[in-house]
Amino acid sequence: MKVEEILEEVKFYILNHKYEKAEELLKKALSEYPNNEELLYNLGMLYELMLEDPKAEEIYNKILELYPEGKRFKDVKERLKRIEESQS
Amino acid sequence: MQVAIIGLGRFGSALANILIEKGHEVIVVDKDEKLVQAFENLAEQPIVGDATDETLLRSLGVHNLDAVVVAIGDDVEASVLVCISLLDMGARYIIAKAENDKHAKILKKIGVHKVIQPEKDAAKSIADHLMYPKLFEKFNVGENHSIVELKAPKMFWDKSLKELELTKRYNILVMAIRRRQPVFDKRGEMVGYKEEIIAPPSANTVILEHDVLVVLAPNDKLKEMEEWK
Repeated sequence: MKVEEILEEVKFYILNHKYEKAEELLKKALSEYPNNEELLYNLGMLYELMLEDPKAEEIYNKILELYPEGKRFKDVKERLKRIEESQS
Repeated sequence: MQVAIIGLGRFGSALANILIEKGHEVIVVDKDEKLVQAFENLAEQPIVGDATDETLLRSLGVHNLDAVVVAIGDDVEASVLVCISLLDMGARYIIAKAENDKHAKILKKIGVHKVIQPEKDAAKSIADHLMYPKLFEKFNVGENHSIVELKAPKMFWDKSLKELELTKRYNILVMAIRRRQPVFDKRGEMVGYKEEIIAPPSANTVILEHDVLVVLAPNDKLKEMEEWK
């Protein structure tokens, strides 16, 4: 299965509030495509939806470390800042 | 909001920084020049002076401010004097920090609108957190009840409030539901979430995965609620 197809399936689960299914699928996909930026990004956002902010932070920090030139860098930084603000 | 903070100890300084960060107009007053200097380019008015001096207090125009926070904890006499002057000058809302229970009692007696004991309040909140780690927030409602926030346990997922009969079975009332809803852009990519508050929920409201329930519960139910899976 291609990453795009996996993300379509993840979206279906998310739209139906089946977050645990979406998490399972993303984790499985990451074992097939280790450290894929899009999969990680979606997992980070999924953790935010699941109110698992510390897990989201961990994933976002990983993206920043792995993809300092990546297309998600700026957005991920923003998301991290928002999480930090909500915790303080 | 326009707020004056009198006393720039650890608490006063932290509060001033937070309010400034949030874009409020803050006047800071302290006898110690060094403490005031830290707010030189941040506060609306950084003032070095003794707040027990009525002329100084009057110059702040306290009756025009939304609130005055008296964060003088260690000098009870000064704290009480400042509060009396502020009340005489018609300050609209006074919050004062008390060093101990006696100090708090005096401040309440003279008519201070809100008395806080930050260390005691923090200790209470930590004790609650240790006792009920799964409950995000806890507010006391009278002596025997609390309003708490908790993640909906799995056994509630995909069931309506009518089906769950929580009031009948557990003597608790779901007052609101907080739900993070995903947001997608035009291309269909998830770009974040928005928080939705369902308040009050209807009997037909269905609890979804990872909803947060705002619940009114008797205190003797909290331990049981902690164990819900």
